[in-house]
Amino acid sequence: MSAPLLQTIGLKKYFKTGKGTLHAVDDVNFTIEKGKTLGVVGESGCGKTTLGRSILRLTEPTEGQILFNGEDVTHVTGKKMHEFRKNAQIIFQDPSSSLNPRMSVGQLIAEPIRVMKTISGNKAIDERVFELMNIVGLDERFYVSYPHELDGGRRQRIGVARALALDPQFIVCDEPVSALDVSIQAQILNLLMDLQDTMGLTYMFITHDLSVVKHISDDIAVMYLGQCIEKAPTDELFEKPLHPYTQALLAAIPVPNLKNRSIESTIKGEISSPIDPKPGCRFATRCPFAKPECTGKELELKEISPGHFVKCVMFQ
Amino acid sequence: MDINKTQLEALAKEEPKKFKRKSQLEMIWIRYKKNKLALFGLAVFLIIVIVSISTPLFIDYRTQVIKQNIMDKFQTSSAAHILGTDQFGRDILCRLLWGARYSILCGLGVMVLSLSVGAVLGASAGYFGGIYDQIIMRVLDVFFAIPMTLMAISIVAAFGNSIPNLIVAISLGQIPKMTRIIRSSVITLKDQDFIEAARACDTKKSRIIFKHILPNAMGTLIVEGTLTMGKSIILIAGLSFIGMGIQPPAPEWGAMLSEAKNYMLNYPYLMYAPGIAIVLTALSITLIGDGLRDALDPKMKN
Amino acid sequence: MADKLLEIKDLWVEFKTDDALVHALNGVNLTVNRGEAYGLVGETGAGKTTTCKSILQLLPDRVGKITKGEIFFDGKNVPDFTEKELEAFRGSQCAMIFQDPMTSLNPVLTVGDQVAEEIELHNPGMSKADIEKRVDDMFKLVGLLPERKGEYPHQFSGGMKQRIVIAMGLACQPELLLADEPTTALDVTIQLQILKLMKDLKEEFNTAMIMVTHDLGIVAKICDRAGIMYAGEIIEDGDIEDIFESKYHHPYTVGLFGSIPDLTVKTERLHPIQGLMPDPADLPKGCKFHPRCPECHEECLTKEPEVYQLSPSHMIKCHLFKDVKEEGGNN
Repeated sequence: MSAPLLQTIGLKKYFKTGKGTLHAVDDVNFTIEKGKTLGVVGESGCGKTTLGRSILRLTEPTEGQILFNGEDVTHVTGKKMHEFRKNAQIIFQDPSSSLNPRMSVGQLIAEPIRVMKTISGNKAIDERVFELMNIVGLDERFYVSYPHELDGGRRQRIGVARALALDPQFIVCDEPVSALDVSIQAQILNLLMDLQDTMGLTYMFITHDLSVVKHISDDIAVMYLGQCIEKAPTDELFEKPLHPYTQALLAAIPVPNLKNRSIESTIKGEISSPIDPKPGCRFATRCPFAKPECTGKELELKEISPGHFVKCVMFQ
Repeated sequence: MDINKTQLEALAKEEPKKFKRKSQLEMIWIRYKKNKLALFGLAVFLIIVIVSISTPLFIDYRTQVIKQNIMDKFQTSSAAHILGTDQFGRDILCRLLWGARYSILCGLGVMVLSLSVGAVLGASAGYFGGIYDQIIMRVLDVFFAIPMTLMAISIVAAFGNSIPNLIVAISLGQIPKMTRIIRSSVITLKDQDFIEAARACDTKKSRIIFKHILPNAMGTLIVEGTLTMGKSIILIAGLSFIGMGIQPPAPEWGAMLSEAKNYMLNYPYLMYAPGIAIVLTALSITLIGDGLRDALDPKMKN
Repeated sequence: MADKLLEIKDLWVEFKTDDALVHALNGVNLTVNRGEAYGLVGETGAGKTTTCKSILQLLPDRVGKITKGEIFFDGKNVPDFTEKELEAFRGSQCAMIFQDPMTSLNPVLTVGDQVAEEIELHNPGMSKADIEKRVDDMFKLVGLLPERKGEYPHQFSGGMKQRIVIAMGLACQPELLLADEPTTALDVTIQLQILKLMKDLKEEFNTAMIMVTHDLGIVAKICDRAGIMYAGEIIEDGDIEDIFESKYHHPYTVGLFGSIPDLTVKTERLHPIQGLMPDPADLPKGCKFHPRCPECHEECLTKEPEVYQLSPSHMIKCHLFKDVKEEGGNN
């Protein structure tokens, strides 16, 4: 089997704050095969956004390695960085703040091409921009429009077109549909999936919405306070969630039918602080199954069944 | 879900919406026009600028502006002298029109100098942060602590009162404020996702500052620039008024006011023309600044 | 027979901007009974927040106007209230909690003070000690430590801030609580805690609620009745069983359900509603949904649909249901 497209080994991102070291991403290991989608789910403070940014080197990792197509890109600069950036792009969550308000749609989509100089000549660049607009379903007449003149769904399409401009292999989708209405979400999700089929793209899909991630991912990694606490193929994660947090997360999603109307919240309290966390399970303070063994010693991410990893005392 | 037959027929009957490609400048002008005060300001300012450029064409400096005609002194409005004559018999209107040159030139000079230095300093301090930012801001703090007028006076006193010196002197007083305002704009902007998007395709820092950040700080830059011009026109007049700026017999408005104050009780009309000119010029520039800021912001609803 | 607390009759609201007339609400009819949770479902621009603000007479001064219709609260028409009556109405009879807990709280006042302010306003003459006790009670009720009442909003997490906002909203035990997407900004596990809290409090105080949301899952968990809103109108309305179990639905409702990735069903592609919500300044003729409706036919282009009652509880505003009746109540 060929090398996976993307691999992280022991990836860490720490921030120094006045109160101590903030462990935003703590020792994350995973691989993504070409053409597949890894869903990264978690709630606020789990580090998923920082993870996405670190992989793309938009924020420099504190420790660990990032391997892209087998090559170590953790510390590359100059030409190699240029190559990496061409191949690894990002779609942002907020279509309002991720588009320069003073640039027209055409300029926005063309910008990566102009910066990287992948195509020369205005005419050729324009052609490529129109091509991209067609691919993402943006009518050509919007070429001269400004982002604020368009609705959220169309703006996000601009974001997708911009991410595709350099013909990347890998795209980090950072909550690309969270800011959109439900019916528009569905349109954009379908678009992303169609693009993956036709262009063989590989995605890292970051979201807090489990129902969205189920739809689009092949594998899912669940994050909590900077650590990956469970990772499994999508269907298996939903059928057999092992980690208590994953179970609680799944149970918390309000399903649009009347089957179970009682509200039983198994998780108590609030997320603990990511600053200088103590060794051991970080979920223990809120876990209904917490035992003394849960804290004190760092736990391993163990493979329980093929492809299904869990970091929990109950499965050590 | 596919569109059905009825909808297809309805769409076919619909007139295709004509879409004209309007350039950005056109859009800005359309928005600007909606503000009546701004239009007024623009009109007045244009007149003043045209006057300042064209005066040498129909007024001769030597004979009409500075030549003294003691016989004709202190004449009020007449056919020959629409605004009357001053204490040396010089035609006030001619002097007034010529005086526009100094105000406009110096005002523009200060605006350009303080904007460019302020923009570069402010944008880099804001974008790079850290020690660099600290050093710039602390140095500017020193300048902030000195009152503008006093600083201008000291520089003029030390280096002489040529027009370039005046421009530099006044700019020095404006640059700190400009820098600080632009810096805070930049700090707000640099955390926006679209800057991150620019970094995601390996955009050079200079391009980020000049193509992404500064255009978005445009509104702030323009307003501050025009306010600066307005302020500096008043400041120049003030400096000339106390004798530290442009010297008589040059018909700079502040200098004219300065001379007029000596005859204030007996011939008050000597003050009206230059005084009104100063106010009108500064006001029109400020109105333009306001109008431009609103028109430049693409998010403002028409 | 259910006891009507709020009855909105044929409400029309317009916003006048510089160059356009925005038709925010176009004949809204809505009833909420005492102690009942009504889910108001719709996407951005449907008019849900405008509806809530109209109830509390909080429309922006010169710009927003009720052009037609009545809002009856306990039999009295709210738009007719005098200033004094409005003061008594807002907060103590009808309260509102907003979507974003970050901006709902005043950052320079302690949280205790903000809850106390609410109580003080509607209980003039109440002693300081009594007010403080009430504040403590409210804190305990929403699951917060009363000892924290001297702290400032920024010292709390999003979920806790929303609890404080709920405490403020319920401090005077209003009969009607308008909750405008109260959990949208929160994590899903915190959302569950907040929903549980709201459900418990609703039961304890018999508070009626309008739960504005775009999430049908929340409606399923907490509401007794629901209405689907589109382009300023309620296009479907019914008991919770009607909404989730009836086989008859407005095509937009069908589209909404089709857009949601359902955890329990495996689908290849989602079925979104094509197109976009219409511009409220430029609404389509006839049925406002017709440009996006897969069942659109001739009549829909020109004639506005009437209200059709499929059963005493279930209403759909669509030409397709002219003579449809649901067998024996709900299916």
